[in-house]
Amino acid sequence: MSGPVTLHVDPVACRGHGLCAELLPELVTVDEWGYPVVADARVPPALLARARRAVRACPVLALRAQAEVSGTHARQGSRAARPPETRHKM
Amino acid sequence: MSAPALAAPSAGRMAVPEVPRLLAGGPGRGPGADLPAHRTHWGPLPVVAAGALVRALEEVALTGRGGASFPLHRKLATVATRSRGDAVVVANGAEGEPGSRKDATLLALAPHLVLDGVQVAAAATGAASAWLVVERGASVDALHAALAARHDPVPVRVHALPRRYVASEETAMLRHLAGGPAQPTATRVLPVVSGLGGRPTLTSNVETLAQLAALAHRGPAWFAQVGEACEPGTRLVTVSDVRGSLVLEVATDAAVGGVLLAADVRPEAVGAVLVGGAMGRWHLPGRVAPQRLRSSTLAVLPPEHCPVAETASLVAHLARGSAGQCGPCRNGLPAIADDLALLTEGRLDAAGDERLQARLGLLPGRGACHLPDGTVAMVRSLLDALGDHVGLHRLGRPCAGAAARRVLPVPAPERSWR
Ligand code: SF4
Ligand code: SF4
Repeated sequence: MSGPVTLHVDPVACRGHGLCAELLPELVTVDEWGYPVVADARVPPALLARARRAVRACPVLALRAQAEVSGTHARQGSRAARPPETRHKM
Repeated sequence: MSAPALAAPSAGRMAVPEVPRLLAGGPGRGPGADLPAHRTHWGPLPVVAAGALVRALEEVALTGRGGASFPLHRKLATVATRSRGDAVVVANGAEGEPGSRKDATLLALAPHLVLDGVQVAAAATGAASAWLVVERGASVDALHAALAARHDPVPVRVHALPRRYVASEETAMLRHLAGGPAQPTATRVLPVVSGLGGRPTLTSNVETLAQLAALAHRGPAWFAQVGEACEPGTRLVTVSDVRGSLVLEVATDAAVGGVLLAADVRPEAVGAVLVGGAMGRWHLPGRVAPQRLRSSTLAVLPPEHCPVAETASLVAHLARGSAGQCGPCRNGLPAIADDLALLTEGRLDAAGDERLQARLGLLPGRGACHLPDGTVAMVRSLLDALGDHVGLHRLGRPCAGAAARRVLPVPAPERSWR
């Protein structure tokens, strides 16, 4: 996969097990309740392989890595935030 | 400007608005809920082709009045293009916002203008059915009576949503209409493409639809006679203060200070202003008065009241209203509410203050909807704009105003999402 890859957590699916933070502490930390915080969503090339491993390890498929697609960020007329793209999973 | 007059008890206090258009039918001042009187005032149900309607909407730049401020012409054009005669129109009249009475007032005073808007939108999008959504507990009898008096081409059903803060969010509302819980969906598919039952769905706030009806009845030139050049017309606004709430209709170029005067709020009675409700921003009166009003709620706190206590109450309400689907929101909002309760009592020590700052910093962007982000922005505006008052609380001095009655009373939310 080419282009920058970004890391997202589906907040509804995530159970806060913190496995992702253990496998990828460079990019993911946990808050005081054990829920992941992605400091910078962009995955440096050197961490790509480990990011993919963390994605595969998430027991509820809540952690996703996707190739950044530009120009797809206008959800019409909704207050709901744009949730992570699922189809571009690695 | 005459003094505020009393309206129907459910509709909040009504003042004579600055530019009475939608609310031209207030008590004793026009058609109200009476259909023949409405027709005399506005004329027959307008017939406007989709293309002409989209152009007129674009010309006057009508945006959503339910909080999203999205251009209506774009939503309408998408639904019209996608519709195979099966589109759905959903009129959202569930405010869910403490301190907002404008949609309920509009439905009480001008239901037929909203229903004209539903029919105009339905005709233009090729919709086969429509919903009018209100909050559970709203008086629906008058709406049923208004619907029964009309012989509309597209049938409209009334639907009641649970009284919880996020229930009126677009995806939550559609989920509830489809028989599910009124919780936001984490979906990427736009309702205008695939909404209710997979059909293209136009959701719109009831005021937006009433504005659409006024535009269809009178045309863009009339519509643009008042208001800001780039977004002409009027807006409804609820002004709340210690006396209660008042719904006004003002031109879109009205300044906050002017609206407060029109609402009969004396400048010396203003200590702080919350613009935009629970997800809004706190301001000092002197700063905000000259600014253009771009929101539908203004809450006025007298100088002797406590904005920290008011904020704590709102955040506790938002925390209870959180759908609890997302861990950061389910845990973070009650925690921030607890910190603010301590701050209100002057019992948040330096460590607690640091913890609050950290929590505010970590929460945004980590929920499926904007509730956490909006809450954090509101709390931050308290700490920034009203820092002097907050500073006294930080020094451990509880203020007498904390015990005062809330200007934005928060309702007890329903337990159920169904
Ligand atoms: S591993 Fe998955 S479920 Fe666990 S915290 Fe990370 S994203 Fe959430
Ligand atoms: S962010 Fe909060 S209110 Fe929004 S969907 Fe998640 S839990 Fe519900």
